[in-house]
Amino acid sequence: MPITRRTLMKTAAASVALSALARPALADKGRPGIVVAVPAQPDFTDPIMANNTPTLRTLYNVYDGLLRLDYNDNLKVVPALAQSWRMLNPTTLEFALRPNVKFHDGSTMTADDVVFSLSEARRKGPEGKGATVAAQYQRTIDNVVATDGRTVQITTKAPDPALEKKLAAWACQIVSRAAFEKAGSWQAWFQAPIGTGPYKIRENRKDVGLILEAHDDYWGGRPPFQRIEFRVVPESASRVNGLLAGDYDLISDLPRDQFDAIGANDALDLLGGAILNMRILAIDTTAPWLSDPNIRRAMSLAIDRELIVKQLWADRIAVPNGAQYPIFGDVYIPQFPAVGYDPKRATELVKASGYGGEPIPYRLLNNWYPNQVLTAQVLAEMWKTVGLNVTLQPMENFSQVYQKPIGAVWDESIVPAWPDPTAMVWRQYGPGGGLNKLAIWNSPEYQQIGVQFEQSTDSDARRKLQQRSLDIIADQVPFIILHSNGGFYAKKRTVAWAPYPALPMDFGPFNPATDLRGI
Amino acid sequence: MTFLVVRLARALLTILIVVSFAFVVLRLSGDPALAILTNEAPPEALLAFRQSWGLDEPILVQYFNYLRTIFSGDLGMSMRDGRDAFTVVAERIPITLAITVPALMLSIMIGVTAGICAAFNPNSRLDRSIMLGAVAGFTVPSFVLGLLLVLVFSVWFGVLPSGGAQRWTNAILPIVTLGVGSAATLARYTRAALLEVLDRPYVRTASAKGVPWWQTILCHALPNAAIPMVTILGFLVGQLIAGAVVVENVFSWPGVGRLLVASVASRDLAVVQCLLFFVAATMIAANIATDILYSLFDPRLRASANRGGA
Repeated sequence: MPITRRTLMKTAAASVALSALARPALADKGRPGIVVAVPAQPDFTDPIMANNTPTLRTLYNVYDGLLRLDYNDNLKVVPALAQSWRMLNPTTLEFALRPNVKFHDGSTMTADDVVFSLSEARRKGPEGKGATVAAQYQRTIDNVVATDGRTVQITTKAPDPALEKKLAAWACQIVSRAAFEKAGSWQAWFQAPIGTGPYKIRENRKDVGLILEAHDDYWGGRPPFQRIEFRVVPESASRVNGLLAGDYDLISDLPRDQFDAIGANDALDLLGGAILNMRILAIDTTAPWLSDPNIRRAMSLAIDRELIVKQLWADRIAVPNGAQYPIFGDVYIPQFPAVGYDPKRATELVKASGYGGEPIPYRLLNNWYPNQVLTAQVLAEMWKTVGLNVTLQPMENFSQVYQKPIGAVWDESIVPAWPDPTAMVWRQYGPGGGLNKLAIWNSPEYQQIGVQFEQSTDSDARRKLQQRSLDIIADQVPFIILHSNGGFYAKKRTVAWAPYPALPMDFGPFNPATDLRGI
Repeated sequence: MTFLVVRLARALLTILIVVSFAFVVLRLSGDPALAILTNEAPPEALLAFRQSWGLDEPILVQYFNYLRTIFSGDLGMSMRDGRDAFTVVAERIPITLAITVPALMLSIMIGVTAGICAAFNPNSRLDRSIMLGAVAGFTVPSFVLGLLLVLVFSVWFGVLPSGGAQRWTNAILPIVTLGVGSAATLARYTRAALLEVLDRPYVRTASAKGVPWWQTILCHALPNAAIPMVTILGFLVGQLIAGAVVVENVFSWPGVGRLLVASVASRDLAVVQCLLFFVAATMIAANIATDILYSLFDPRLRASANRGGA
């Protein structure tokens, strides 16, 4: 199922329907608690420290930013802690703060808290080493000032049309300055952080789990659950068994081989599908043979993605049309073609390149991504049929994968961290990006377009630049698009919750599936 | 005295070899800065991380710095947690002991009893049933047995929790999983050792004198069969620690096994080294305890040790 605007709307509708089904079972019990089994918990309880899956899943419920993304409306930017905002000039945004927003400790949020939350001291993180993810989201911010107790102005170094989306996405959440300073150290702060989200952290035990408790003064409405216990259960079989035994109400990361068993159980629901996370094969285009665009094109054309999606994902995920998602709004190019499957053309390209069967390494981790090893084995066979000799090299961790000289292909995923093209391929291959740092692809034109796109405020110009950028990627194949990743969950039918097609798990009142008002 | 000094010197050498091996392997198998901060971290953050943990130094310099710190009693700081590694490991040890010690007791109770029953009824149905159970017990991998027990007692009957560490009942299935494999091994060795001594003249003499059967076992047969059983028990301690890594992951039990897996994955060097230090020390302690028990059970070994033999 592709991720389209329609899909997102359907998800929202399904969420409401599920909530209606679940409501009678919960009505007698009042506001329920819920136990959620997940494979991992965040290393740190502050969103500025990471934007990985465990962090997004859990801390999404603990913190708010000035703005938020509405997952029920194609990730539209909507007000959150800011009641309204306006652009004063191309580099300055002014935010009017929502009155009477309470932190988890009962104190009231002020403009000073906003200034502090977006300050360099926070961006730099523990010991000022810069080991946070804030730079990805706040890179263009030059200055944040409070003009009065309820008004804040954010100035950027250059025009940044995606600033609102970045502020709404992650690592820009507002924390209590007083609580942070009272903690005295980052380590102490991680033990008892104070945000404004629908749930507050009650207990955090490494490798045991994270317990959240309802923040009843939440500005967005009454949190639907009294308590959420994220319990760390690394083994997928143990999560499934725990759900069947009734120990957990909801489990994440359901493996494909359990779909049928869960689907056949009347007391359980199988949820999820494609999420906003693109699985790709990164390529070191400086390596022998991989430096030949024809070999890269052949590798991409040799892949029968539909077959992989059908066999390994039970047809529940999709192949995107180019390195983009509909959440990019007016710069999404719906007519851009999806990557094709043409083994005949791939064979011709391999022959024309003069390739003689030399091994092409594929650095492979052991199922860091779902179905990773199986997919790699299938891919190696598909490449073999077009004359490419790709050899799988098992690796233990990403630092081994990135060990230079790389000279290989390997698995990656690209998450649109905010709903804009600057958050996706550009975030990885642009200046400072993770894959850019590996120096595996050099395209001056792509870099030039990226900079123009990042600063352009003209919608038409941005759309043209985006089109050109997608063309370059499709032509040069600096990476191979596989498919959207899948996120699957199973839950007791009585639990009122539904996932978004994204990594965060929202248990707050903005998730329509948790709507228990009136109970 | 000489015996103890030699054993301690060997123990220290073993620990040194283990921590040195762990040090080299961990540093050559991945960059902790990338594992913890990921490749999306700014280069200056990666550099600052490496500098602050001394990872930018040549490996030999790092090694000697490491030896210097552990000899001064400092096992380093956890990169993932921010606290000192010893504290991080120490708070997990009781959690692991909470399942491994009862598992060891369970395996002794079941294993020795089953072994005795089998030895006293050789080639009978009971003997064959016990040995069949023993073979099944030590051939079934602990993760399979664990999942099987969860299926039966948690999913089908719903009498025990499937995982976690919230209540004391959460410990039952991990203990049984760990204990069954060890009990099976112990049963086989107990049977074999007892069969050997039951044919000895002193056992026959005791029986001929009219000594009750239970007294014959306790006072004559078991002490003489104890040496191979004690040897196996020493090995079982190591097996339990290794088994804990698997069982703790299957049952989401937050002990040293889970910590080891998480720390290796995130290249939390100090914690992994501290854990291996703990495992090596436990194994050495088990071996020394085994040696001491040898001398308690066999006066000839005691006399040899007193004469200065190691």
